[in-house]
Amino acid sequence: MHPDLNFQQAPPISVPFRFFLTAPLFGVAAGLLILSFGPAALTSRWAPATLALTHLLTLGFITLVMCGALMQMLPVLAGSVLPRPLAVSTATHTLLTAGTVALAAAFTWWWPGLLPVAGALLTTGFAVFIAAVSLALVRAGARGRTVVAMRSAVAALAVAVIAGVMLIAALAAASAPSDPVRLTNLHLAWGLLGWVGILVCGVAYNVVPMFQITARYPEWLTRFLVPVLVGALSAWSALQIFGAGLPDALAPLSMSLCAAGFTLFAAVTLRLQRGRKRRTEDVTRGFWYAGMASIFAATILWGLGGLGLPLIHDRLPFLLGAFVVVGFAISVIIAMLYKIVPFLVWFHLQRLPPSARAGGGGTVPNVRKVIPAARVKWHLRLHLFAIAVLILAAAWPKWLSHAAGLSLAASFALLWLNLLRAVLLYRRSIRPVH
Amino acid sequence: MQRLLDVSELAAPEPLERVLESIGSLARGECLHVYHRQEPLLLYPILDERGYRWLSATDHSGMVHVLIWREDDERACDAAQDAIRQCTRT
Repeated sequence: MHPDLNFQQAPPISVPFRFFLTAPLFGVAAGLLILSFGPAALTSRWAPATLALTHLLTLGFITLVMCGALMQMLPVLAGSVLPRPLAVSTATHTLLTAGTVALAAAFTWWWPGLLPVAGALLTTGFAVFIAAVSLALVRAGARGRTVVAMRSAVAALAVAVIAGVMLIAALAAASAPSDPVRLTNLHLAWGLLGWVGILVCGVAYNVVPMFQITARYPEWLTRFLVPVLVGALSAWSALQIFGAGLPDALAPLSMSLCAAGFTLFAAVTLRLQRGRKRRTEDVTRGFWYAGMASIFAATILWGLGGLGLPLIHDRLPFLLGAFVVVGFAISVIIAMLYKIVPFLVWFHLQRLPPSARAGGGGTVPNVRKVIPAARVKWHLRLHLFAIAVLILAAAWPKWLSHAAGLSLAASFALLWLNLLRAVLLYRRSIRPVH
Repeated sequence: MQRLLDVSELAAPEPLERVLESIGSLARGECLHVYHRQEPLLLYPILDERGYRWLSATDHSGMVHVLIWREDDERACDAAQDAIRQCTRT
C-alpha cells in the first residue's frame, strides 16, 4: 500500500543546506560584478565579464540550489535514496563551488590559464552528481511524472555540460570550435530550457499543490509537457547540427513548440494558484507570479525579436537573459527555497528525540517562525525591484547598470541572511553534545 | 472506534503537525483516520519510530486515507482494518 522507502538513509540536513547557503553568495558576486564593470557587463554577450556574470547566476546560484534540492527530494518525490549522500554531496558541492569560482575568475579577469582548471573541476563535479543521481533515478520505486522530469532534466544537464566543456577546451586552446555560436546556443538551450526549465516544471507538479493547497496539475499537462519539451529541444538541436539544406523555418518552429510548452505551464500554474482552496496569505506566491509573468514576457520578446525591431533585436540576448534567468528561474527557485528550507528545519527537528532538542521541554519551533513572512515580504519587494532595474539595464545598459548590480547584490544578500537565520535556528534548537 | 482528521486543505507541514499532535491522545481501542490529498510519505517513518502502525489506501476520487493506531492495541488494529476496507470499497 505504500512505496518501500528507507527514510533512515535520507540525507542529513547538511546535505541540501551546504548548497543553499553557498548559492546566494554567487548571486551577490554577480550583482557586484555588474556594479563594478557597469555597462561593459551588459553590452556584448561574448564579453568575458558577461560570461562571468551568466555563469555566476546559472552555475553558482541556480545549479547549486537545484543540485542540493534534487538530492534532498529524491527520497520524497522519486522514492529513491542517493547512494552515499554525504560523500556525494561533499564532492559535488566542493567541486562545483571551486569550479564556478575558477570559471568566473578566469572570465572576469581573462586568465585563460585558469579555464582548464575550471573545466576539470566542473566536469568532475557534474560527473559525480550525474552518476549518483542517475543511479538513484534508475532505482526509483516511484514512476511518477516528477521522476520522468528529473530524468529528462539530468540528461539535459549532461548535454549542457558536454557542450560547455567543449567550449572551455576551445577557449583554453585559443582555437575557436568550428561554429562557436551554434555550440553556445546548444549549451544554453539544454542548460536553461532543459536542465532548469524541465526540473522546475517537474518539481512544481508536487510543490505547488503541496505547499499552496491548489488542485493537482491536469493529467494532460503532466503527461505531455516534458516529453514535448524534450522532443522540441532534440529536434531543434538536430536541426542545428545536421540541418544544412533544410528549410530555415524548421528550427524556429521547434523552438516555438518549446516556448508554447513553457507558456502553457505558466498559464496553468497561475490558474491553479488563483483557484487555490484556502485563501490564506502566502508571500512566496509573489515570486511565482514574477516567474510566470517572466515566461510570458520572454516568449513575447522572443517572438518580436524575429520581426527585427531595432531595440528588441539588438538587446534581445540580454532582455531574454534577464527575463528567463532572473525573472523566471531565480524567482521560482527563491519561492521554492522559502518553502523547502523551513520545512526541512521543522522536519529534521521533528525527527530528533525530544532529549536531543534544546529549550522548552524539547518542543519543535512552529514552521512559520523559521523564516517570518515579514522578512520574505521585504525580500520580495527588493527582488521585484532588482528584476525591474535589471530589465531596464538590459535595454539601456549605459544608464542603469550600476543600479541593477547593486539591487541584485542586495536581493541575494537578503536571501542569504534569511536562509542563514533558518540554519541558525536549527542549530540553536539542537541540544549541544558535551 | 475511529477519530477523523481532515488535513486535505492544509499546507505542508501542517498535516504532519496535526497528525503528530493527534496520535498522542488516542484512547485504547481508538484509531486515527487521516483524510489527505496525497500520500504522507514523510509521516510513515516517524510513526514507525514512535511505536504506531498504519495502513493507507487511495479512494476512487484520488484522496488518501491513512489509519493509524498504537502497535500494542489490537482492538484499534481491527477497527483500522475495517475502516480501510470501507474506504477502498467506496
